[in-house]
Amino acid sequence: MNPPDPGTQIITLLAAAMLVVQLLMVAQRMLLTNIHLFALQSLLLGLAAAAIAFFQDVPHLYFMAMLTIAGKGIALPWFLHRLVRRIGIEQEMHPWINPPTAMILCGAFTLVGYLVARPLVLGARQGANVLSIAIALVLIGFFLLINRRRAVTQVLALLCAENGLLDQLRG
Amino acid sequence: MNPIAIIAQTLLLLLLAPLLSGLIKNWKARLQNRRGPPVWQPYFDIAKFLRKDMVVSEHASWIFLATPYVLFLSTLTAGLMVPMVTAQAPLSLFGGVLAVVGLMALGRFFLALGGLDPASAFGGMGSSREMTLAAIAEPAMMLAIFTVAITAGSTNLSRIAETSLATPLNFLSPSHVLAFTALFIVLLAETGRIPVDNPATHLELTMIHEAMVLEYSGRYLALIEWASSMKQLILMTLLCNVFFAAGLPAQWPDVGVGLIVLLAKLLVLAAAVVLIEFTNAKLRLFRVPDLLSAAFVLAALALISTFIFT
Amino acid sequence: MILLILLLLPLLAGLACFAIRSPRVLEWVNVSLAVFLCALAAVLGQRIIAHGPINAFDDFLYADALSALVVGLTAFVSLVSAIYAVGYFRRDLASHRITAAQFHRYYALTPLFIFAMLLVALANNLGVMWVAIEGTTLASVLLIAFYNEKTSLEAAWKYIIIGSVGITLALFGTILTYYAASEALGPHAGHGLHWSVLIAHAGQFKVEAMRLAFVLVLVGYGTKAGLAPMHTWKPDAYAEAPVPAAALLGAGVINCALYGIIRFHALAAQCLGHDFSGNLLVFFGVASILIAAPFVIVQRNFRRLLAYSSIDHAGIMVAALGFGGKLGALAALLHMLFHAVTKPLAFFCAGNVQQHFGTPYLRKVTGAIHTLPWTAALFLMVTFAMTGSPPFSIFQSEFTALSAALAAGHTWAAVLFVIGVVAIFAGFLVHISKLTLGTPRHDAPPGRECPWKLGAMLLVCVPVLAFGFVLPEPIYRLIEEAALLIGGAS
Repeated sequence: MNPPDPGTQIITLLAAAMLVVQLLMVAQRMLLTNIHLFALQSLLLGLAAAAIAFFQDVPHLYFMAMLTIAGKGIALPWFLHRLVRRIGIEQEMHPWINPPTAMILCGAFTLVGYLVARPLVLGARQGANVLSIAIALVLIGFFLLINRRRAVTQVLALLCAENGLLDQLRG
Repeated sequence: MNPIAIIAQTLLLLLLAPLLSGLIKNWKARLQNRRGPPVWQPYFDIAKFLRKDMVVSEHASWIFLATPYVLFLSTLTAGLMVPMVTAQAPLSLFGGVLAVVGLMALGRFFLALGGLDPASAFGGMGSSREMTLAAIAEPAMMLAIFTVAITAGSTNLSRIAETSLATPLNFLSPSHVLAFTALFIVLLAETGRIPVDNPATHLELTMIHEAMVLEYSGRYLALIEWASSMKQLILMTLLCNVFFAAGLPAQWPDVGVGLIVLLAKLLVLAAAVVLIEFTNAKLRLFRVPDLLSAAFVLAALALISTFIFT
Repeated sequence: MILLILLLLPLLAGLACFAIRSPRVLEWVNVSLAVFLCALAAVLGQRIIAHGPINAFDDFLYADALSALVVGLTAFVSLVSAIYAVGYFRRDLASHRITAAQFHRYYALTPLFIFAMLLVALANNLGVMWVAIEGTTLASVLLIAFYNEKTSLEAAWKYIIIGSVGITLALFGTILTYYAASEALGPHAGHGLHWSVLIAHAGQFKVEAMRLAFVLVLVGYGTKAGLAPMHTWKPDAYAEAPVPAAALLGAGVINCALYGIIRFHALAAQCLGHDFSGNLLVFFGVASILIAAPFVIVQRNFRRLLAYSSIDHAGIMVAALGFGGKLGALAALLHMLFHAVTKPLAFFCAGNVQQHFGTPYLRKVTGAIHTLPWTAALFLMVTFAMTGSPPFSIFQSEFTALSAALAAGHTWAAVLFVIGVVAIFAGFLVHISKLTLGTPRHDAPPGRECPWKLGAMLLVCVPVLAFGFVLPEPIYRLIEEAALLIGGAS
């Protein structure tokens, strides 16, 4: 095991937490919980950006962190929340593929992410694990998009994929 | 094999477990704007049950009678193998963490038999549900634990705790985040917490644990309740001390510090459990396997990641 | 300077159109904008032939022969659709299919749409190019949802969701390209996404990262170009958008997306050798042709028919690019040119028929030649032109592509290519000949050709007919130079 460098470890940890949240989103069926999980994920993304800003001394990333937390962590979920309440969508989502199967598929996507990123990161010191997690996040986000039937839930999935992308952006 | 340590940890397990259950119950009530039972209520309950007469079905066999003792002792033994206040667990049997899981499975097995034995409708239903869920939860738990064991290079819990203590940052890797989440979901399922089971009622048709023990009364009920709160304590301790070993004293003498640190960690974890119970609705029984399979996939991913991640 | 004017003109026109209320002025602004753009594009082309690539603003904007080709085609398509739009929307307005507000919306959005397309071709920075391609999506999604009907909203939704997925992947690929390049660039890293910088260093990129990046970009921009299997938004979008907007999508945006693919292909070919990206392109191209063919044959809606034709043509261009060599690149670019000048006519004819008969269904329209003689005759002609029968120009480019395939040893791909193209030819001919020459329905309303629409159609006819026999020297020079940019790299 390589010598643990706290910065890298914490950034990777936050990315992994994002992955966990994404997988939980696949696993459950309630729309509002999904929105909350998305908010949580965006929050983690913002924190990760802040962590990078702190550990690698790139101050302009603080700005991005704040923007992420304010926009995607608070404003967007709030808006979606209100939208769901207003148009009275059914609370339970009906995905095409049932959650356990979906979970297994998403597990496979995560592995794809690892395998695809592996040749890229051999020898790279930083952002190695983050890259593979980002690929996995994007793939799972797309899967969520395909798996959902309603417009709001599709948008949510798209936003998750985007979260993954931003995650990659920093890697 | 320090006899004082064994006695001390036994006492700790026996005394702390009901407190933890009471605490969670009390906090949950507070969050729901109720006053709730006092924190000590589980002690009073156990004391009361111990004094009461027992009613045993005339159709019940020796299994029904043996179950509470087997459950209680197996859980207690498992508890002695978990590092609680120091990194050194008082008891260290073959297989380490596997023995802990095995002992708990033994208890569960007898409990399910005990539910079936008096041939009451609810008991059988509870047993069948318990085993269905256990069939998914146990592998998830094993995989999550293996993840940690691989990082530490040993299945011995004391060794795992020591490694975790020595290199805390290694335990913040993605695979451990996945494993922790999986184990946390398993914890909710194993202790009958809300998205899976509702510990607060005997009246729901979808109850699991409460259905199994419906036929027990008096001293037997006291043992079973005590054992299940000990199981909760053990699982939570396992989670804290394996994943966040920081603050755990390495050797026996510093028990004071260890106790305080352990209590603090347990409080945080209990708060998390309460929060989840408070914010979630109980899942329909058919949906529970969804959640547990999620835990299983997370744990499997965790295990695979340990090999792939550098 | 000319690059700046090319971009500012449509941007300012679009912003101005939001303020203009008078319908006549809106039409006038749009048509004259397109005329100016055509003139500017011609000047740009000439300058590039004479003096080589132009850049501006510290390399922020960059135009070489390939950019000039795409700019020219965009300008041409926007001109003919602006003229056609005048007749088309006047009629929609008169028949109360649209409101004055919708009318205004079309004319205000279209210049912005054109701006985004031009920016794709002129941006030097691949990131800005990505933004511009995303911009075309945003501008066009409102045009697809134009009629506010259930079907058009559905089409727009499908378009934006599939488009966003594609564009996300493309961004991923763009970032990975930067990652692949970052070490090789050294002191130029500050301009790490500038194409002119990247292509100079492409040989030293990280191979693995570039490979992944190209796959992602191909899938991403391929979605926008409508390559199978990411093509599913196309039939809905093309069938629901108002005809001038559909023409812009089908003959304009497709070039922009292919432009993106071509740029990355050039990078990948330098870095990885031609085979990796070339084989992928051949695969996606041939797959698009083969997937389009059966849908053309069983099609019941002539607007959707055009969408499948567009999928087919995107496939042909990509496959030609993949066959490689100078011949392949030449075939791809010639095909881009010929397709872009031919396709608007098909859209316009289909639009006329649809507006006149009030339905896009083939079975409800037969014998259009008895009511709309000009439109039907042109429709039949453009069907031949579009499906690649001689003497029309597309035959030449398809033939060139085939020779490139055989020269590069892609025998199987060539066979499949021919099968697909022939099946599409047959399908189109059956449908369109029935539509134009079949027994007329007795309840068909009497028709009158609108001068604006007919004017636009005849304007498109000029290159459609002429290019089959003679390709003007400057245009050929431009294409040859652009082909050298791609093919010369490998």
